[in-house]
Amino acid sequence: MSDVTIGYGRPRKRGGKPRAAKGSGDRGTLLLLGPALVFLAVFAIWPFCYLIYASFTSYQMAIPVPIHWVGLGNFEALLKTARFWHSLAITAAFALISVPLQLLIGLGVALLLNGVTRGRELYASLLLTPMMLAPIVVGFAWELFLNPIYGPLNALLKGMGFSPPAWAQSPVWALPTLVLVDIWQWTPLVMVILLAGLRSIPSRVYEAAKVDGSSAVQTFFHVVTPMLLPYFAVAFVLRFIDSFKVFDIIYILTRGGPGTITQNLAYYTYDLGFGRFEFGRSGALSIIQLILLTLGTMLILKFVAKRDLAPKVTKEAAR
Amino acid sequence: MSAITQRAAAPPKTAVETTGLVGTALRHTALILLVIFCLAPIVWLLITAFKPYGELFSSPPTLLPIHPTLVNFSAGWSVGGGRGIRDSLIVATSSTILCLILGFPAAYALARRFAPHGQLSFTILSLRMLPPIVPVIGFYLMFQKLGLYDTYVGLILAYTFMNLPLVIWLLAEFIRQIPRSYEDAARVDGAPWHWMFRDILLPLSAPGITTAGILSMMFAWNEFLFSLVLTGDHVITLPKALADFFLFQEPNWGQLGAIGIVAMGPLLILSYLMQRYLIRSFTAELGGR
Repeated sequence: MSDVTIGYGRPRKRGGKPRAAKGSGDRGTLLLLGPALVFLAVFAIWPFCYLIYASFTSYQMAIPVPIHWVGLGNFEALLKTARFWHSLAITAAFALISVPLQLLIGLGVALLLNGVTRGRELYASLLLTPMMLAPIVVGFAWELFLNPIYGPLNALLKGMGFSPPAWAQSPVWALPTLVLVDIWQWTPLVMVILLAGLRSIPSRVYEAAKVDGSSAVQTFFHVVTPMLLPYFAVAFVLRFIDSFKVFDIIYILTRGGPGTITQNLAYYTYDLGFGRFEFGRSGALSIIQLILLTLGTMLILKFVAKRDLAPKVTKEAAR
Repeated sequence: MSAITQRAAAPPKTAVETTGLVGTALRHTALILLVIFCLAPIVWLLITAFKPYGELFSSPPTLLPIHPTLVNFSAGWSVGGGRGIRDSLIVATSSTILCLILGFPAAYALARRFAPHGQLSFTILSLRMLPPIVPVIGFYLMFQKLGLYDTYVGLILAYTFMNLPLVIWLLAEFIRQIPRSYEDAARVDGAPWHWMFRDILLPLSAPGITTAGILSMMFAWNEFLFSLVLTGDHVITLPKALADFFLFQEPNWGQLGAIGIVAMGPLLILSYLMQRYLIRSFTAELGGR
């Protein structure tokens, strides 16, 4: 009786334990797993083939010209435009500014929370609110909050004698505003992961450090930080991957503007594909993103994350 | 025990300890300020929803509505909110049911029968890591070809694709925690496999099914990009209704706020109830081994 492996790994070893159910062996497994796998495969592979096909052609919806093969032309054209490099820079800004800030602030808040005994659960619940909301709702809650004329923030700042900018509409402040909203929405996730890490450190460890005469600062850097590293890694990878996804808040708050200032790769892809129906170009951009994301994630996983620790982190964070 | 050790060793007090009461007070102050920062935009939205038209455009804005009104809710409902809620309910519920029907057997197979499941479930979950903008063009072209563009079925299938990996993963985790001996006992008793499913496995995994179902509903309810790209005028989910309302007319902030409140209210209550599972699912991508 051989086992089904569906192309992954070695066949399962049976530890000599007799199986009562006969008809539900290998065929049963396939029957159970099959529908889901087929569904996922169809929806992963079919559109992907379309994507590859489109990226090598002059696929444009608006122009009724026959589609022709352009080879790597779309990729070449993209790499030559300033807009591509600009949107890459904006994406990088989210990954390199927003994500580290979220890690830092998340650590601060996690330490704060870990330091209080009363009301920790309540604080945590309330602080988690932003990440539970639909990004679209977040987008226009902030739009309303930051509105230069009717918004409370600018009214407050004006009352205090400042002359605040028009945030999302300002060329200078648009990107920082988006970064702020991203931080506002997703720092809670980092916080909860790091808090799980902090809570997983037994109090014995702190006591031992104290007995050894280590100061609070020393304890933090030599004892707590190393033990938190896997949690940091998990938070970093998750947020790094997600930083490529930022779209909804850009769509609502700035529409990529003013001009094209706040267009990241995701928004640029959308704009090319569904703003101008240049599916060839847009498809090529999707593939570039896929490659960048895969490379980035692989690099990070290799250098930072210990994947074996991830299930533990998941469980602690869920507590 | 630890108290005794501490007294015996008489360690120098750390910075954290010496601050004592003041430190605790400072911490609570900081946390309260953070909570205010986290809730301010939401609360402002809530306040706005109760303002009558005239007060919406006063500058500087009034902190609380002077003449609170519910008119925005009924108006918001009729300008697209109601439609959005209906379509979102249809799409989210159907895709969730489909996710559970496809996902439960697969999760069972991964949890019980299929030994090298680690790699396979990691592969399945990694589908979820993709930024939706990457598959969406392929989806769009495929949907155009199949006549699924701007249909309920199309969006339901897209959301099923989006949520199925997570549902499988969560359910597999759950099933793994049900003792195997229950099923073995049923088998020894000679019960046919579908009885075992119906009488033992399904009831025991009911909490898991509920969790996975609600999470899948929530993600479908909140999703925007797929519904923006894959539908036109026929299917208008709530996020899309909000965006349309916001971008194509002079926004009536009160109505917008009212739709927003209705859109997020039930979800917020649910998410407070299921916080631990929610966090689990957010961190699931890396737990797929």
